[in-house]
Amino acid sequence: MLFSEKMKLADMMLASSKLLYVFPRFGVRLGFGEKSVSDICSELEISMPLFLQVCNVYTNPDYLPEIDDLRRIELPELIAYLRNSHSDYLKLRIANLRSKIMKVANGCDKNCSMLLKFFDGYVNEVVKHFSYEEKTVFPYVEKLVAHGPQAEYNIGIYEKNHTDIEEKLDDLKNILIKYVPESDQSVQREALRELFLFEEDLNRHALIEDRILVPLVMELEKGDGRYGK
Amino acid sequence: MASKYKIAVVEPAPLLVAGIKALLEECGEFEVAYTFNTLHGYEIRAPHIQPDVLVVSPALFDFSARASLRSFFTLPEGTALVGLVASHYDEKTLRQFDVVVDVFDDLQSVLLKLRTALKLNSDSADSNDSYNLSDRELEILVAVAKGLTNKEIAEQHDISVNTVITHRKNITRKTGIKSVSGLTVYALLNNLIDQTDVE
Repeated sequence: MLFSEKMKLADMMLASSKLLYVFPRFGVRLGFGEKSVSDICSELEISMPLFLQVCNVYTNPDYLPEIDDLRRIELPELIAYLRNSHSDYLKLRIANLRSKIMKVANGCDKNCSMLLKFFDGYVNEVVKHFSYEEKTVFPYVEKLVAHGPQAEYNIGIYEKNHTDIEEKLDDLKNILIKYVPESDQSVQREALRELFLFEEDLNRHALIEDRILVPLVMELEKGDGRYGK
Repeated sequence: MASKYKIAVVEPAPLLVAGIKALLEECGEFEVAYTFNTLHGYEIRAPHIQPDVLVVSPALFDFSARASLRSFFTLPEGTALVGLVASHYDEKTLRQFDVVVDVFDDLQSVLLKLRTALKLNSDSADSNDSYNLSDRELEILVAVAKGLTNKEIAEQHDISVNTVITHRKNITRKTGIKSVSGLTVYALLNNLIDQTDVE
């Protein structure tokens, strides 16, 4: 089932716990009472088409939005959302995850300090990935919106370079599940749970880019002037 | 995700081949890496490929050869031979295969059959403790963790680079760890190397 503007925020979150991380990126705080999507969007001046599409892609990984629905989204708003997501990952989620991994590392013998080092190596890759998007892709899209097709870049390059940062995350899961010796089980479970949640959220984030950002930009690159001045 | 199982298909009907490829690859667990529409085509390439599963249509064999068709293949250890049937065959022919997939099977049962066949064969290939790393694999893993390249490892152990790659694939399959830094953590946690080895 897809979410629509008349739905209550509370019902949406009850239907999909993944939205717990999505709402704050739009500035929606818990305690919204009986408010519906359209209530909160007009109150906080959120783009409703964007809010609904993001919530729908997050909730249904198989959902492929129609291009006609996507056209109602303004690219600058989408980019603002993606930037918010990045800062959420870097400032909150990764810091939180790191403290959980650190607890695991502190709880076992000396070799476990490698765990944290490995995690930091992974974080480095994530940071690089985000910063490529923020320094190359997003400015390109903003220029495209403002001035029409640009020669120096196209979204196809981004699609190709949408690098695989999942490998190390997979490795870390395997290590935590199988090879960490003698440590506090509950601490280890906490770290793994956080890792699973983080991974799932990051995958959905990538879906937003693949299913909303890329098709919209591709259309704009065809130069039909929809967003142009 | 662990690396995919490679499948080779020998089947004359192009639509069947395309269908198998599309359905299996959609599931993500298997990769249809090689397809052949004749036995001869397969024979030429056979020495150079190492599929985990070989899917073969018994229709490619003469009636008289069907009951012993398994002997036609020199299967690498651990490779499963799967029959692909679109019509009725006698029991003797069907017994030549580890499992038989019927074109009318639904996708779930096809997947189940392939998994069964794979498990069956990896058990007999590596009977005592198939999930643990062998001594040789441990040696290679230590070398990888210390940062040696495949070429260096090959020279050190007097084996070919291809053999090193095969060992590394098996290490990744068993541990689920792909990155070199991940393997280093594995080696440290299992006391295979010392912190000073990697500094």
